[in-house]
Amino acid sequence: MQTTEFIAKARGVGRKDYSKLIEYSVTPYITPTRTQSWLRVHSIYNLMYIPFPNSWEVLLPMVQPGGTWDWLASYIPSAYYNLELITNTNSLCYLAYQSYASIADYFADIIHQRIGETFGYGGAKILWPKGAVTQEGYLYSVRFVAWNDEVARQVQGITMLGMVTELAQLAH
Amino acid sequence: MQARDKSNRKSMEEVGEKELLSAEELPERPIELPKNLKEQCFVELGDKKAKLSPLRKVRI
Repeated sequence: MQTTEFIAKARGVGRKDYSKLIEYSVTPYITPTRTQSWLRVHSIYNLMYIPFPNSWEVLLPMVQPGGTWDWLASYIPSAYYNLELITNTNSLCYLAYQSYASIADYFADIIHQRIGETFGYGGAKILWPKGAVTQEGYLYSVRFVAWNDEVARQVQGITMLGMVTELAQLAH
Repeated sequence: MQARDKSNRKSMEEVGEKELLSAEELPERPIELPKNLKEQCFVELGDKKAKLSPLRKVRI
């Protein structure tokens, strides 16, 4: 973190700018292009209707050193930029992305952090322009649903687009 | 500007009530699923793939 103190000069007509201390933090997130790789989540579900307060939840596997997968995030960060819900019904949709501190919390439904949440009609989309980066030791899941009055099967799918770095370590 | 040609349009009076279906007369419209649809759910990283967890039902 870098802290800079300066006095902002008054300029023009109007209220003066009294801000004296502006603190900004820059955490470099190094992403060498040679070790980047796209991470994609594809899913299509043929689901039954469920009423309003309920939704479906799916847990995302996380990249582990050695090219394996586990539910707990490793020290290799995955940065997701895009999460989208697609459905074939023009109904109210719900989409959320959250983390859990442990597997016990996941089963107890104790959310550690709600990283993104949105509603939409006919679909829903969340964008993280700077990426939603995973932290080591946490679990990440997506909740999604399309509510409508038709008691019928409906197609719902989520897609996620992200980036994984340090792929060089995956090879070992 | 020239006025639009409205000869093909019908006013509501011309259409009449007969051509409009009431809510009871609307046909049931089941959701049509693609025939070759298969449920799939996986994460892809290069040539490495992993399945997502089974779905569970939760309150939002």
